[in-house]
Amino acid sequence: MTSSTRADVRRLPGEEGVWLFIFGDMLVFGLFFVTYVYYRSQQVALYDESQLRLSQGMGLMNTLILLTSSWLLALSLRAFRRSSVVLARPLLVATVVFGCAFVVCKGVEWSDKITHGITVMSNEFFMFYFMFTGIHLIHVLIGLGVLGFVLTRPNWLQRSTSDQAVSTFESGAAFWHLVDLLWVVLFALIYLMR
Amino acid sequence: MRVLLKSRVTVIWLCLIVATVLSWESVEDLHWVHELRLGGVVVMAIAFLKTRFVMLDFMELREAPVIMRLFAECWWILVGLLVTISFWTGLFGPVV
Amino acid sequence: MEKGLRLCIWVGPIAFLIFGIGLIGFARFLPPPAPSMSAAEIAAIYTSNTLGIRLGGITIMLAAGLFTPFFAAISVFMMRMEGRWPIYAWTQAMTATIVVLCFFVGAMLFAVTAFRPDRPDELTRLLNDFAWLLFVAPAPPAVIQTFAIGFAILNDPARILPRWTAFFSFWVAVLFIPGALAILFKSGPFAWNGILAFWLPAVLVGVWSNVMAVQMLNAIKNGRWAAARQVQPA
Repeated sequence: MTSSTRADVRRLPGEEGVWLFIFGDMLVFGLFFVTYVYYRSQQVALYDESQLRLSQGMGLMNTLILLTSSWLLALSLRAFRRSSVVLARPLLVATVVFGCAFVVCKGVEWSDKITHGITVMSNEFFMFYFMFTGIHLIHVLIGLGVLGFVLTRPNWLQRSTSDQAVSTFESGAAFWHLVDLLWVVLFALIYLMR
Repeated sequence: MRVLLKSRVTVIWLCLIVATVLSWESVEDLHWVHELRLGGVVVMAIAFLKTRFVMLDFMELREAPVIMRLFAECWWILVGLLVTISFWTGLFGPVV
Repeated sequence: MEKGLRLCIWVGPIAFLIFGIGLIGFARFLPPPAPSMSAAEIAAIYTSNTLGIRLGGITIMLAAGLFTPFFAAISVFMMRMEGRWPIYAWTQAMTATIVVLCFFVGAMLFAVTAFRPDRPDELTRLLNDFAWLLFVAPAPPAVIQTFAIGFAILNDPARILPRWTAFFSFWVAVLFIPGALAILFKSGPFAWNGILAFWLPAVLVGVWSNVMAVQMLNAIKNGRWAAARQVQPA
């Protein structure tokens, strides 16, 4: 297993095919973002007023959690590739823990809204809020599934492991970072932009 | 572990955290920002810039084949511009 | 056997074409009538294009029937990928049946609605609602179908189909999800005529099935299909 790439060797981490999924999702979410701005432009006052009922603090916490999980995952991958491979597993566990924390926070946030009578049907802003954070949450769950799968393979996070293991780990990592970057935009767009 | 921590990704992470907190804190406090409705623009610009670093340093697209890197750069710039400009200018304004 | 298989694969894109002729050419249902339209407006659509919608319904039902050999071909590919216990192939076959049935019944409802256009407007709108939601909302079986295809491709030791087709399938699967919630909305991007619940999945299903058809035909042509006979998965 080779160590980190040198500057003159260009490669994509993970499987080639997963990047089709990643870039495809970036395009689709790009469409989501533009759709949101379009619909918001028709009713700016409604959106601004509804946005105030979101908990910006929760949104901030969600973003910090996800950014930190991405960092931990990047560290895990670094550890995996270098001689500190024994740290890869605990770092990956930490990533998944933070990922689960995100899901829990999202659940708390949603149930808080719902108990206050705010649902996906309340108005157009909340439709976008629930739909987009919901579709994003599905991506989070898929990402957690893949990373969790890597954790369950006993021989994968070791010094001399199969190419398939490396490939799946890197692919899952790339997907997780996608989930992170999409949330960064969603947070700014839905919680902050006014 | 210390060697691991002292890497580029840690620096990037810290910058991302700082940028996030800054966006969240009211940018609107600055009078001139409020005047020109730049608050939203700044927030979105910071957000898309953050995605660039997640793509290049976390997703490791910095070392990726050129065409992939190009896609990533184009994505954050074009989507970022489209979202930011249409927000600021009311480009998609109410249908007459 | 290969000739029959290739024919079944070809039938897929042809079925989509026929579907398009039915929906767009005859019924003139592109763009779809909005869920926010009044009963009177919907009734007017059916009285102004009665024959077109009847023929459109028949044509779409024909297309729905023709999808089955295509999805059967996909299952046959998956069976060779999976070996002795082809659970994903079975899953694909069954979920494809549900999806095809939804298009079939939806088209039948259009036809039934146009069968007696002088019904009370509310009844016409009810049948129209039913038909469109059948077209757009059955996301769960579609998602499971495409995920099953993806999993089979990824677990295939002989790599009959290139692995990127699995990820492409996963991507399309995720895009079916907004459609499931079309039941909640009468306007906006997630309604049955909305950009995210209708247009995006509609375009992508067309692209996906053509891409899969091409890849399957390629796999037969370049010998990967035949070679996989010798490889037994664990």
